[in-house]
Amino acid sequence: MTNPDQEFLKKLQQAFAFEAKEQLSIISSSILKLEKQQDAKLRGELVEVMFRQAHNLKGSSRAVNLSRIESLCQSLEAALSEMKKGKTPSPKNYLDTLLLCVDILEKLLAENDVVSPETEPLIARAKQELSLFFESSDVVHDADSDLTTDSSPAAESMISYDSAAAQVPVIGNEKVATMDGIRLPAVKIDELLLQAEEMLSIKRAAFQHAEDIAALTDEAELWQKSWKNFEANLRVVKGLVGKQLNETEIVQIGGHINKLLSFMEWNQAQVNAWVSRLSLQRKMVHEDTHAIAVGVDSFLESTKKLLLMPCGALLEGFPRLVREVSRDLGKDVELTMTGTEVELDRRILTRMRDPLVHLIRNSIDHGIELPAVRRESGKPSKAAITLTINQDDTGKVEISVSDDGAGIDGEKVAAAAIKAGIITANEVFALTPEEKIDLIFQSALTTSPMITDISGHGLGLAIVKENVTNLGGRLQVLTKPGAGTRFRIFLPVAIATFQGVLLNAGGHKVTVPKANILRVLRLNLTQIKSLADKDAFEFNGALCPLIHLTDLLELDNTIKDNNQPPFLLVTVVRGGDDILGLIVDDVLEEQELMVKKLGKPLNRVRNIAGVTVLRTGEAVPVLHVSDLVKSARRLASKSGGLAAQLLSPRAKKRILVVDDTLTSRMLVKNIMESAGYEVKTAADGLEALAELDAAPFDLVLADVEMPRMDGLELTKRVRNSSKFADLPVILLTSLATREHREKGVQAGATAYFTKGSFDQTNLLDVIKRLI
Amino acid sequence: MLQTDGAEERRILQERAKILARPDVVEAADSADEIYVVQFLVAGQSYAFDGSMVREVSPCKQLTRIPCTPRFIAGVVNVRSEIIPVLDIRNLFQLPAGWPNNCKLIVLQSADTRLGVLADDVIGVTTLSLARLQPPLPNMTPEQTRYMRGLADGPIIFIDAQSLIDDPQIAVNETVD
Repeated sequence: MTNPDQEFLKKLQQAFAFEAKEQLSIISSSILKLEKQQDAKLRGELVEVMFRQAHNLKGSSRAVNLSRIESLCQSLEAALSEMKKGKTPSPKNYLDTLLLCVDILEKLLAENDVVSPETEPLIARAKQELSLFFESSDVVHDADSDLTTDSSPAAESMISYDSAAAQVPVIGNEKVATMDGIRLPAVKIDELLLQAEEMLSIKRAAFQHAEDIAALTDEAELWQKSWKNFEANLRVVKGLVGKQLNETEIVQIGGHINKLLSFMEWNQAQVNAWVSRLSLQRKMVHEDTHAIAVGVDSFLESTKKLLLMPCGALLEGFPRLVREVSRDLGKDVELTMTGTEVELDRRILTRMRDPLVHLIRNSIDHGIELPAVRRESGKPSKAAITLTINQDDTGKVEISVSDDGAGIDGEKVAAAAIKAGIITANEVFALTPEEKIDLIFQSALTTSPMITDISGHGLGLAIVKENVTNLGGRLQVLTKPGAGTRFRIFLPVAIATFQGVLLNAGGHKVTVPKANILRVLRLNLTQIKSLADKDAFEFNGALCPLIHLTDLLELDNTIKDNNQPPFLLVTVVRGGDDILGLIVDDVLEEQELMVKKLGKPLNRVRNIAGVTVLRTGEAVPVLHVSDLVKSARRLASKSGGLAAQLLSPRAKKRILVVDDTLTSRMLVKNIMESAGYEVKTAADGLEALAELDAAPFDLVLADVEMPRMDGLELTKRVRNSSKFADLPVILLTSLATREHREKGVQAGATAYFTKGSFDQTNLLDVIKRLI
Repeated sequence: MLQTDGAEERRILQERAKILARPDVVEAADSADEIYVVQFLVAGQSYAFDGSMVREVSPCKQLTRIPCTPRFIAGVVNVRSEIIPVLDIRNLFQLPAGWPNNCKLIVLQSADTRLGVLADDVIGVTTLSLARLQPPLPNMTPEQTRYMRGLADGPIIFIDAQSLIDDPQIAVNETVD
């Protein structure tokens, strides 16, 4: 096969896969409905739908050379064709067989018709079971003939064939959707198309304005030419003014003046015309701008609405899931779903699917009791799980999963938490019953005595909670021992855009979702509490950790600010249940923004949720607040205290001048301060050490001869200390001999200057080099 | 009217059928093993990508660095509302750092992925003979030869764009805790 053919076949197979998923999904849900459906007429309709899907699938699979799929579809279609005639298959578990066929087909679809060793026997089994459906030997006949006989109402047939239903299989009000593509009601597209067409008139208006402006500009250029002539004439007339004119010149001047006058008249008319056209133009542009704004906004709205999808589409496989899980565990469970027509942003729905699956599995596994146990407690042996979806006026959606099982025992949970090492027995004592139950959301917690296929791994509920909070939602659990449990998930309707706040951290622009920002405040340096190695401040009665956003994001600070203000600008954010104070340089505007994913190979970057594009076209990172909060916890334990850093202002370096004579101290202090350093003094070595202990310094300038502790001893002490062993120490002394110098070096002095000969600039240079 | 027997006719028709059956070759290079490549410069060395993998070339403007990403990720760019990650080849191949102010952006495209690559300059489109590709020189570093398909006359280092895009080493997958 040549390349273009291969390409085409590939595309065809992709389209087939997309369509086939839908068809299989319809068959699957029809089978489940059939199980519950007693009414013969409705049963007939379901079988009809299933047959049609199988028939179409058979044909399409043949067209794309997927022979195994085609073959199984053929057997399935044949069996369904018999069922269409109103016959019920003999084997009691015929529905299971049908479901098995669907499973196999889904598998084959996923593996692109390549049969794995496990699937081969299954196919054989399925076909065998199908052949046992009806005693009549001639089951595999040409099912195509059924299509033509359908239009004539057969006497034995209890099925009413609705020709309209054959086109688009819409069962009830559901719109079918799969993960790769979506089907939309045509009316939404029509709306969008109408709005798109309205954009055409905006386009025409824009072109018109452009033309009008072009015309005005052309006329202006014409005017300029006329003006040049005018100027020429004017010069001539000016030249003749004040002169004695002869006859010819008088006539000439008359002619020029005429030209001048006519120009003036023309000019006035022209300017008037322009003024009126310009004001008309202005009015039209103003109106059109308004129309454009409205048009674009509503177009955007409508497009966003396309992403809204009824929840039912997402929950399609759930009845089947419940059926299988409960069967595996020997429990009897009925799933009721209401509110499936409520519409949510598709992206929220896809992310909620797994959490809901987990909640339901959990409920069946842990919550629901075995039928015998239920009967003993006076409950019906058939348990009920209810999934409801509700939307309130503010647009928030509530999904609730409730069961009438055994409820959650707070004590058991607490015991498991202690066992898992999440919490100590003492701490448990202080918890309220609700808090004990909330422990179920800790990862690594499970109350099951063993890990089954289905649950017990201890991760699930924690992930459910994380998924919900990442979407900007909330999770609540209510339970009554013996009566049941209810999980309530509150979600926003759409995540398409969010209000973002632009921040400047060290010269870098970043955005944080406004929803995560609790407050922006100015913090006085004195309010910072330094606890061990973490810094914090009091916020709403609790301690809020504090950290430089540049440190958290591993960025360099590109702002060179020599003026250290006495306060910090802090943005307090919340990620999940934790809060964090981010020190930033500026809080800029708030914008409505869309978060875009970073894209391969940046699959997941820590601390970064994505990127957003500002109105200027500039891309700015959007921060992942829950990551930030977690990162802060890790970082705080590594870096030193913030308070200590802040107390030494970044700009001015601090020098400790140590000398026992007041005059010397004053003299050196003066010199250092004029050079731009901050100076503190001490009278001898002991005082100096006390000063060094109290606050950080960048350099020590010490005299050698001092009472109590001299400069050499001071130097030795400094070098031996752990806190400031690297502190530069310059010894100033009147003792000029070499031995003294050597002693100084031995003691560990960084430099040695003699008072008599010391040259100011030399000393300052050295200091500058050192700090 | 020429009298020919069936065999001659058949032969003529077969000949014509063969000529007509040859697939349309759009943008064919002169010989079968020549392909079009986009040639570009980084740190004084010429490189090339298969032309079919290059979606576009443009001046690189407004590159946004993303915090907490490895150094070989230069950042992302916004190209017509699409966010495209950009690789820093100088860092990736361990060449000296320092992109010129007017560097270029080459956007590679493969299946569903778009990846940007910075270049000092883009020389243009040229043809490369696959048959005459040489293996890498012994003095080349492993970083340089990692994505190399071969060495062409120039010398031009011909890079396999697909292996670059698919390389798990440049993938970033980090969560916190």
